[in-house]
Amino acid sequence: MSGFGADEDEMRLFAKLSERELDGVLAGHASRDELEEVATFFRELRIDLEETLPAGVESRHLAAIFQEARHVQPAVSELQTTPALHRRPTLRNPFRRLAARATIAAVGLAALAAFGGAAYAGALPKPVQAKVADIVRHVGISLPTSHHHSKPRGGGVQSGVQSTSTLDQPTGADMNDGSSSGNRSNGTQGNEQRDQKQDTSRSNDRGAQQTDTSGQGEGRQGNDPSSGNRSNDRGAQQTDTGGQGEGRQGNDGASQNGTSHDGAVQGGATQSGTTQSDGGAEKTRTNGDQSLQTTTVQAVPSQPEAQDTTTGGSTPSSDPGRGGDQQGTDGGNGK
Amino acid sequence: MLGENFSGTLAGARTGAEWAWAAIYRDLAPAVTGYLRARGAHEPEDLTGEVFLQLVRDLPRFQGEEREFRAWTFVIAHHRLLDESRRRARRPVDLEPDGPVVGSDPEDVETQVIASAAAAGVRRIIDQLPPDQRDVLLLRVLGDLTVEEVGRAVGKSSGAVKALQRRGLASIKRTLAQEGVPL
Repeated sequence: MSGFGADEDEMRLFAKLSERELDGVLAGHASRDELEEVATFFRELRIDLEETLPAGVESRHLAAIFQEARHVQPAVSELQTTPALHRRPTLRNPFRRLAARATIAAVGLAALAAFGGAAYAGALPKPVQAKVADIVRHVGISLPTSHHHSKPRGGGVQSGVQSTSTLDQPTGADMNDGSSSGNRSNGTQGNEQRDQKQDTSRSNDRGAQQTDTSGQGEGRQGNDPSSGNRSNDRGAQQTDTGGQGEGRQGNDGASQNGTSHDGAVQGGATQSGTTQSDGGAEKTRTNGDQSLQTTTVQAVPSQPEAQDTTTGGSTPSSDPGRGGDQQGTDGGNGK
Repeated sequence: MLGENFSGTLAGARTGAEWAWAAIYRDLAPAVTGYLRARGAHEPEDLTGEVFLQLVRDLPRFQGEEREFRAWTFVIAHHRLLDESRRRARRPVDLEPDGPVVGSDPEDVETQVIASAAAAGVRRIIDQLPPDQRDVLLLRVLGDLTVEEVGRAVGKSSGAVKALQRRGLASIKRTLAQEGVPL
């Protein structure tokens, strides 16, 4: 070999050295005489190459290091909490980051849709459903407050324009009070049907309600300024409707009770079979409030021309404009 | 070497203490610069600054003692050197001759000449080694890296590193014997 091709003798020499001896030579310490020259070479190499930087260069470097350290410092404590070997790798690829965000957004939307659908269908657990309905009521969305036996058909967001009744056309009053919104209880639906059958004279005021038979009582309550009375306080509800639409309440009084947020009333969806008479129609309602039903029966004599069985729905009349009309039609026996 | 002061210094550096970074820089920068220069870096001083900035950024992820810290520093220096080599390959620049040997006493001309001759001899020998042998020996000598750490840094197995190390040592011994380089 020529030049820097290692001779076999040198190769054999270093091949026989232990790792420790090799480390010693590289550190500048010879364990054998034949290694002294090489060890000296590495001592000189270390001294020669470890050069002190000029003062200007050092100060420039240190200034940059200090500045960088100040920027990095805020994240230090956070990163120190996670061992380096177990930390999850960061997503440096912007497209992977975007995909991750899109996935998170899609999952969130799916969860929201599922929850919203369940809330709209009234399929959530009763306490949760009531709370959700109460919350969204503030933004003008009506939801059923509990499980019902029929699907809400009127849509969660109420407007009187949703009326589809061929019998009655909603008046502005009903539309405005939000009662026309589709969310009514099953019982409400029954009541509405009964109303359609019994009394077409109420059509103008009641039309929206009938249109909203697909809805539930809670929804109506949510949009109606008087809903507070209906939803939370049955007594107040009755009082309210008494002044405004007693005739209708005569028909729907039980249903109002049934759809109120009052647990006793709703729970009372268990039917007492109160028979109410509205314009000659006889209804059997699933109303949990016996006293109210009794009152209703007393107020309106039963006329069994048509008979519906409802399940505690509500059609609270809250429209002042129709009170007289309904009252006249229904005999003013709402209370 | 910081020795027993290393733990406290490292803790200070983690909190951004300037004194700690100054101590680390003064301890390691000369060897890093020497390594980069010996490996043919075009601007070893600037590259040294980049190495320490990278240390600052990555320190939160470091775990280990002083020896590991030194090895880690030289691995970063090695990678920065490769980056610079790639940049230079894309944009060739004119090489400038090295300045006078830093660290020698300018007042003593005789000492300076001898030191320059010795340094020149040492560098010439190291420069004539094949690049892979030079990489291994410089990382072992200046960075105090173990065989395994050198292997990870240069992308070779431990056996390959040991073989390169032995061949490099044998070549240096033979050159010293033949040419009588003053040390």
